[in-house]
Amino acid sequence: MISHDDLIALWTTLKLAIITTILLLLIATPLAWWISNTKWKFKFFLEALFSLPLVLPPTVLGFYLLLFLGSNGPLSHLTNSSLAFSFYGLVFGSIIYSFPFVIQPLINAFNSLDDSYKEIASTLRAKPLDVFFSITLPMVKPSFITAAILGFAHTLGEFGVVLMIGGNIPGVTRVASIAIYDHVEMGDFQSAHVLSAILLIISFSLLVSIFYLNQKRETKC
Amino acid sequence: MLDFSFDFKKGNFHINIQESLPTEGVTAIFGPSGCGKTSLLRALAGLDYYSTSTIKMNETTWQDGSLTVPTHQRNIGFIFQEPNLFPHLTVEENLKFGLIRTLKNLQKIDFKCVVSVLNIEDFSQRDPHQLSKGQKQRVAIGRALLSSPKILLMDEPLSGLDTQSKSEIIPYLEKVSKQFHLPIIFVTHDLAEISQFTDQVLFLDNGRSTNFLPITEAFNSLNSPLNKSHSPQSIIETKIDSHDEGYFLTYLSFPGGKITVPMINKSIGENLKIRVPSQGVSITLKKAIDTSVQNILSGTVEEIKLFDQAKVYIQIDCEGVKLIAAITKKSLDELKLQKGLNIYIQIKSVEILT
Repeated sequence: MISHDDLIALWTTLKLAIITTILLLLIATPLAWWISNTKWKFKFFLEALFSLPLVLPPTVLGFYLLLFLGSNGPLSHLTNSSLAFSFYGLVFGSIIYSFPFVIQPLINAFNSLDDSYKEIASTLRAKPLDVFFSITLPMVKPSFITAAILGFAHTLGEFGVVLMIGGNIPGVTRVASIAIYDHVEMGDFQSAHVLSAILLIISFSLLVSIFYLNQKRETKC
Repeated sequence: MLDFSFDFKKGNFHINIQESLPTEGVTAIFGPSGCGKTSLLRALAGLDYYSTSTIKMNETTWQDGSLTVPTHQRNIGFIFQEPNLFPHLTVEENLKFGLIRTLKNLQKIDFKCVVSVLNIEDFSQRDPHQLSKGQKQRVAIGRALLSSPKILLMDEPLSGLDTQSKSEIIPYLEKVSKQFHLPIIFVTHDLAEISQFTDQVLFLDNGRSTNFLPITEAFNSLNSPLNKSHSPQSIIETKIDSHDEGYFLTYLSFPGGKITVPMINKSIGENLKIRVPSQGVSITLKKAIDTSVQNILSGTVEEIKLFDQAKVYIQIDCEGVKLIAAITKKSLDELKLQKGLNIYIQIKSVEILT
């Protein structure tokens, strides 16, 4: 029903999505918090930069990433190795590609959080860091789940960027979306069907869970 | 004492207040909306910071030039207009939020005691969204109390509540002020609803303090800012003198004499505040004898103030206690009332406060 190669491609996809999502949450959380709290007058510039992957064609993004990560790029001068066509190159690209999907819900959540909760906590002897962990984070938890699921699902469906910087190395950078493309190219519609259906089901279930959580949250308030 | 000096601008609004408030009893900060009450309270709590302020709480400096004690180290409790219970915690976890962050040797207020005084037992295991607004505000008060603050600051905690929830919460506020011996600073634009447990009033207008008066002066003096806009009512502090079982009456005593009211279930010697609306006080030159009015006192005309073409307010001194009567301009002329004249007053209606 599903070939060994396709299983490996699926596994690579999942691994990529999981690692990317975890790293994204770690990077985006402090940044989102900072963006929502800073009064820096040029923050609009950063917000625009973070949203760029939303509108840029993935091939353009992939092209610049290839130059940046490639053996003549600035990163390889620092690290003495090329990240292009490697799994961690894909992780790097995916982080940039899915960045807006993770940071935006977090910025919105931090922005919409009523300051008076933090103020009350401080009148109840909570220090600023304590306020962040005991009030701010738990109160934006639903948005964390949304951000994580969106980042994960968006990384699953990545194609253009991966093709540009990852190529199609089985077991290393060959992800499900590229495997599907290959199958269609070769006329193997049977395999394309199976892989597509799997991606469709995973993506749809993830979105269903987001909207279910949102609805549950609304009825609770 | 809580000494402070503020001189700052918030938007276009200039706040300039130097004051020294006693750190005992309940102090109301009163003024029209937009007079700077909330800004003053937030600055006291350290929620807003202005480098030009100085604040000193008893012997502890909270702010002076570059030195600022952050809110979480000021030992205060703060009640906002909205209860804002933490939605991700249960009622009990909300209550204990401040408690578990208070050092053991500073914990002066007991969990069980707060829960029973505020009558929270029945719903302490619930989630905040399951409570009524009045219940939420009670939990918010309990939560602040349990951090064992040295002073409790309240920013119009009644303003968001309907009449029903207000009557549900006012008795608790009163209990809190009595039971926990906490100084309370209470911002309000409706002094009448908290008059029964307020000791003194700081009047603010347009970013400045205009008067600082004991509560009875605030109500009973015609010169009080309160009586510029409101129909005056007098508040009298009395003691239960005796009960008349036969007629089912209670006699209250105060320096100006005795006042008869329907029987009250309180023991002799207890303090009681009563409220006398100015419309319920009439004036006679001689002591009326054939009258159904029980409460007749003697006094001296102290102040006369025309309200409009028909109505006049008379401030009367009864052995040091002030009272205000509302009469017509016609009566004023017919009785030839003037300052210093000895008169009798008849009190027709009395409202028991506490």
